[in-house]
Amino acid sequence: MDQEEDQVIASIPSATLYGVDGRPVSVEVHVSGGFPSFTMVGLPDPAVREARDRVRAAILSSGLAWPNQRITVNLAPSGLRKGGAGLDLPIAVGILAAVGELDSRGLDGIAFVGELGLDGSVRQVPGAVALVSALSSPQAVVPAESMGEALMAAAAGCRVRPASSLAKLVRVLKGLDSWEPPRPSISRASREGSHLDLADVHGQPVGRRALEVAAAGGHHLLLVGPPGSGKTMLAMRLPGLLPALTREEALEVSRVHSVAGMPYGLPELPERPPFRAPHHSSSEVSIIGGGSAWLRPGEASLAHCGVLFMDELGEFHANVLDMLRQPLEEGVVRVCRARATATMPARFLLVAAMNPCPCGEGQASGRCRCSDAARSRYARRLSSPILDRFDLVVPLGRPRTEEILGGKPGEGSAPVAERVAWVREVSRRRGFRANADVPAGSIDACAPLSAAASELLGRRLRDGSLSARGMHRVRRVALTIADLGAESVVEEHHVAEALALRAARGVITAEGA
Amino acid sequence: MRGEDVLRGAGVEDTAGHRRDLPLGNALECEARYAAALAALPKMTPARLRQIMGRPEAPEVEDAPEVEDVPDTVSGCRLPGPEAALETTLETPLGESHRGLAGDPGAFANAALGALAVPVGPRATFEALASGRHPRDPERRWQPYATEELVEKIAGICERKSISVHTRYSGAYPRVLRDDRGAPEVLFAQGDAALLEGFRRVCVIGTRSATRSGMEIARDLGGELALAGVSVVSGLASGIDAAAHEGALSCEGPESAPAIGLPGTSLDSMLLCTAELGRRLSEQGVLLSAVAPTIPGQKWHFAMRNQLMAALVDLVVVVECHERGGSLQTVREARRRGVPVAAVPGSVRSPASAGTNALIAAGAALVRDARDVLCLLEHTGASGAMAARGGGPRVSGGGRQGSGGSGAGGGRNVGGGRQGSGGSGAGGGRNVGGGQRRAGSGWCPEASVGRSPDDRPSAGRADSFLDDPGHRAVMAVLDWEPVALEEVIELSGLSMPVAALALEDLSRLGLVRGDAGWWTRC
Repeated sequence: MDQEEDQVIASIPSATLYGVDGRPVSVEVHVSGGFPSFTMVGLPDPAVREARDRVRAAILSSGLAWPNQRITVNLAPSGLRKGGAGLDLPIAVGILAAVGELDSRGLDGIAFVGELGLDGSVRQVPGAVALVSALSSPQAVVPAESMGEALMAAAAGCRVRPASSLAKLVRVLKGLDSWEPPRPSISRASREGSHLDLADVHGQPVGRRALEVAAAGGHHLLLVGPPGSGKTMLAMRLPGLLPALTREEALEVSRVHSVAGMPYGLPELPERPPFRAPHHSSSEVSIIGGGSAWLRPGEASLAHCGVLFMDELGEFHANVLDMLRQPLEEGVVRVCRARATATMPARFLLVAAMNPCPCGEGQASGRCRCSDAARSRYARRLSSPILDRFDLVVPLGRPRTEEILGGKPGEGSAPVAERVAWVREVSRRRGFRANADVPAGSIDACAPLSAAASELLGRRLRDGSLSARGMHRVRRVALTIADLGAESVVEEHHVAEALALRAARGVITAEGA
Repeated sequence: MRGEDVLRGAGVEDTAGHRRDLPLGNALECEARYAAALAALPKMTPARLRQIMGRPEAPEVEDAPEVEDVPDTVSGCRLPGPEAALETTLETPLGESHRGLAGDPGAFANAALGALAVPVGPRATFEALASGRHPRDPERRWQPYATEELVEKIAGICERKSISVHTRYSGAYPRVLRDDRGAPEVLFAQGDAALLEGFRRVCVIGTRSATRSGMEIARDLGGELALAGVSVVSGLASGIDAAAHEGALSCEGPESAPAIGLPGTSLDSMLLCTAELGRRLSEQGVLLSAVAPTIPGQKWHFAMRNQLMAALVDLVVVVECHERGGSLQTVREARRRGVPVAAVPGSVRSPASAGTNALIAAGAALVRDARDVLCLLEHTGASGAMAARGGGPRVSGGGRQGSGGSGAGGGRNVGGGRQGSGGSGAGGGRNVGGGQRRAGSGWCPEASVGRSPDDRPSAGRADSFLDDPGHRAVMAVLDWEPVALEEVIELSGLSMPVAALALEDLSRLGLVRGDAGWWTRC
């Protein structure tokens, strides 16, 4: 054997996660004579580095020979940091190809993604959607458990093959066996909120209306009311009112959830917008995303295209709330670390709930037992930039006993969702995703005011109870209300209702609306 | 003796002192039929009936509807008295003499004390009237009307409507009223009249144009008192009265007491708005009226009702009333009888509580909830009064005042109502009343309550100047206590945009004030 023949190189296409996106990676394996060793280069993170031992054990326990030669694995491009265990399978296949166990030509155009167990089984990897969508090969082999996600993400012309164990895969690649049929995914879809209907809410006319307006116009909603006023109950029903996800949105949602290791809406593309309700003790990273090893999406991204519900908004850490300002403004989270920068989608509808004061009753009700100091401390917890993001700051009262016990059930979710979908369609025709996105410059064109309506707004501006920015928010909400009523001009009662739907601002800030 | 026969005929108190009640819904007994017919005679007033029926201790017109004492009611004008009505409508060739009689009861009495003895018993009285031989009807004013047809007609109505008839010493006529000078000779009852005895009675009254919180308080009071075994008495008017009745009717417990309703009208012609409530009251409690069936409503009927109510109860609780109004009339009547008065305080800015607050300022007891009422009942010698009633009917005038004054004497605030009772001698009720009023060094609701003319908008009714029905609906549910927008919407039945715009408009007009989604009147 001469030197040329002694050097065998195999190159296997695969992918790794970068934020919520996949990046193609080429796994190159070089096997040569010399002192037996196994070296891995190309910025592997600890999980990838540990692949050495997993791959060796998996090959041996699959009844295959381990080459007692010098093995070098390069993960190209070398500048990209690789994370996760999804590269186990391509490394193993590369080694087998390099030693001639598999025919290199038979592997042409096949990409591999998957983690190996010591027994040679192929295990699910997080982020299968992102990984597969990054692949450009005509065929992709993925763990059988990730089939659902992979099928969803696979580009047209890409055939996805399931693999459950290395031994089986080798037999198939050798032509001794056929591909296993795709088995249904065992991961369950998280369909929170899907069975919750608005008809369960008795009474609460203001809360219901606020929910409808928020869903129709994409307005961020803050519910302010005493304990037991139904804030959480209302918020949980919001996803049922939002329009179904489009295909693009669904893909994006699936990718984000898949990266976080929480497949969403499988086995089909998810239709229902996600609903995330982080606890108020959540850390900044868990809400925004990040992490040192690989940049994991936070709750803000998991709620992308859906609802982020923050109960007890006043109890969240102040810096967590301030970090929400970027996603609320731009619809994305940009996480920067020393080695990497990731941009993750985070365009959610923020629904928050809080008590008007520490005792929960609120001063305006005349039942509050808090001291002035306690009340103003509580009110200061929300910075005004955050409060400014809420178009709707809705005061809720406790439902009356009659309503709880014998109240007639309210309107169900379905007719409300129809109206919401219609308003969304109207704003799409205007060229905006939702009425909440209408910029201040085009609001006059989109939402012409009637004389009485502008008189009402002028009065509020003059008496100082409304700021210029507040006025634009009121006008957007009034536009949504007018759209819900299928009216083209914003009338006085639309504005009055919009003002009523932000009346609780006065509770939370001293300055008023 | 004929009188005894009569009494036996009406069938009430036998020799052993046991009482038998008139049958309910069945054929009325003979005497009761005539009693009902007497009360149903045109232009018959309680005072005249008393004279006609020859009560020995009723020498003159007393405190039956007194023209000059009947205060302004809601309409703001003086009520026409029965005498005035008689004068104007009973013009006959003998008109002069009629006027004289009506204007001067003394002359009437003198003329009446003629040769003939006054017949005893309803039937005898009726027959005497019919024959024109009644000594106290020398002019034979009632002769044309006192016919057997009238008797049949009234008896028929009573039987059809299950109305029982009770005369002062017969039937289930409440014992406490037997002592009362102003009590009517004939009472009409619907429901189980036996329920009139055996329970303490408290009247819970107030304005028709009440605030929502006032009605809630009245409802709670009514319910809790009924559960505590206290009969709730009220006047079936909309607002506080109706709420108190509803509360009492909705509570059913082992110890609960029946509700007693006193409509100001006759029992067969209840106002439409109170008909449903009246039906429930007659099924679960008792309805009581001094007005005979077929008699069309008169304003002074309500004054008479207020008097009857004050006489019937152990305590008067006013939940909400304006500076002037019918509730204060009941308060006045209660005060004349030494019945303690209590009031529920309200916001000093609420016109609907102006009257009650003034009552408290003038010394009436303050009531926050049913416990306060029960406490007052215990301390104001209600038990003593009951014992006094149990002693049998008193013939002498002012008997109850005397017994009340010498009772437990507890209740500092409440006791104020009895200050003038020492002055009650043999004199007529009107004189006693006047004396009390003049000598009233204690609290005097009229003086302080009538302090200023009605210049503030009152709840409910005064909002009629608002043209927009939405505005009116919103004002109707707003109070001087903060109300959440939700409640405004739910209670007014308006849609959210309409309610929001109405609130916006009203706050521009300065009628309401909003604070962080809570709304109050201002």
